[in-house]
Amino acid sequence: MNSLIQMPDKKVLWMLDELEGFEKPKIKLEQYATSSELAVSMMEMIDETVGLDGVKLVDIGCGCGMLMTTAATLYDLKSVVGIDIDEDALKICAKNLETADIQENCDLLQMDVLDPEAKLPQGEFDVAVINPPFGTKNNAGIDMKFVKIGIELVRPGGSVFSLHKSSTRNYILKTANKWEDLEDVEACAQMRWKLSATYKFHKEKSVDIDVDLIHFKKTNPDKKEEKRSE
Amino acid sequence: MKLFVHNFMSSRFLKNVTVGYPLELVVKQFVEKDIEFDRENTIVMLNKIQYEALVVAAAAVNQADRIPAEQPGKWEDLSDDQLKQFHHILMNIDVVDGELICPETKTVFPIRDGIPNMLKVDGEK
Repeated sequence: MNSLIQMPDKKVLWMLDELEGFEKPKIKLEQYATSSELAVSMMEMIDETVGLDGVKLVDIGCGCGMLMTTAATLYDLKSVVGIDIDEDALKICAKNLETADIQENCDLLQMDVLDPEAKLPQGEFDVAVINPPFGTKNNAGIDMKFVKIGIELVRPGGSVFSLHKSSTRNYILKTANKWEDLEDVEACAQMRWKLSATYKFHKEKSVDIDVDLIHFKKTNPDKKEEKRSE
Repeated sequence: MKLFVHNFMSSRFLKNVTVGYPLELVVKQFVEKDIEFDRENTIVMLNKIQYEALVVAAAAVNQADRIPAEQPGKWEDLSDDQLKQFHHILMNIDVVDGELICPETKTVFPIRDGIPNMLKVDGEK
């Protein structure tokens, strides 16, 4: 794995910055466009941790596709799937994939990942990336629900990387450490998300939110057996 | 929606379901791409798919004749040319307009502009 973090091409950064955000963000879904800086930092960190080349990636709650587009542009992913509940967001996402010229490698699904009867592609991916709703609109705990789905979607030994408010770090680590199918949980980086005013009720032009990138590593039962036989 | 997506949506479940599930597929419009063939990738993918559903998908675009009706023995034993047929069906066919249909309830999930909509219609809940 590269120990040197190579700065992405300026052209690439500019292109990511120019991607379209939500036209009319829906507050109930907590739609906020992830900034390109945050997406790039996140992907670089993930590449450092588990490597992204050759990976099958899923972006859960992809919105306008900033995370998946960043990942697919900067790294040589095997395949990418983006899932979101909102048709309007997916339309914008599809456009962004074309702008970035990565649509060949990407598939989009319109699904409600929290619907217990949704037929989700379990165990199909190497890495799941999530920038979940933070649960500010009467849906506390929704971010952990998204993480649980991520853990189902990745293969044994796979990884889920998601963003959460730093203020919730202890709660998240404590909760996830109780989950049985995880080998490890770790806050691997703290980042600052400069969030521009998105909704009418936002008084400030922008606000800085401290977020943690948390790595949830799913257990791999086969690996455990290999170790035993050594 | 590439056809490989149809395969994994048909064979994985959240809850235990007694009836096997390939979603029926109706294709109204599709495009054929030319994604680079990789022998190793193709074999990895084939090891995960449910063959019956793959045949359903291939038939939906009238290309079932590219592949045998029954699953071949070992994927590794196939030639590149044979594997390319599977690669073509899994990766090169992108459904732009069509429908995915639940074989049990006959609920229709539309595919529009290449994106399948798996949300239940309000009445269902």
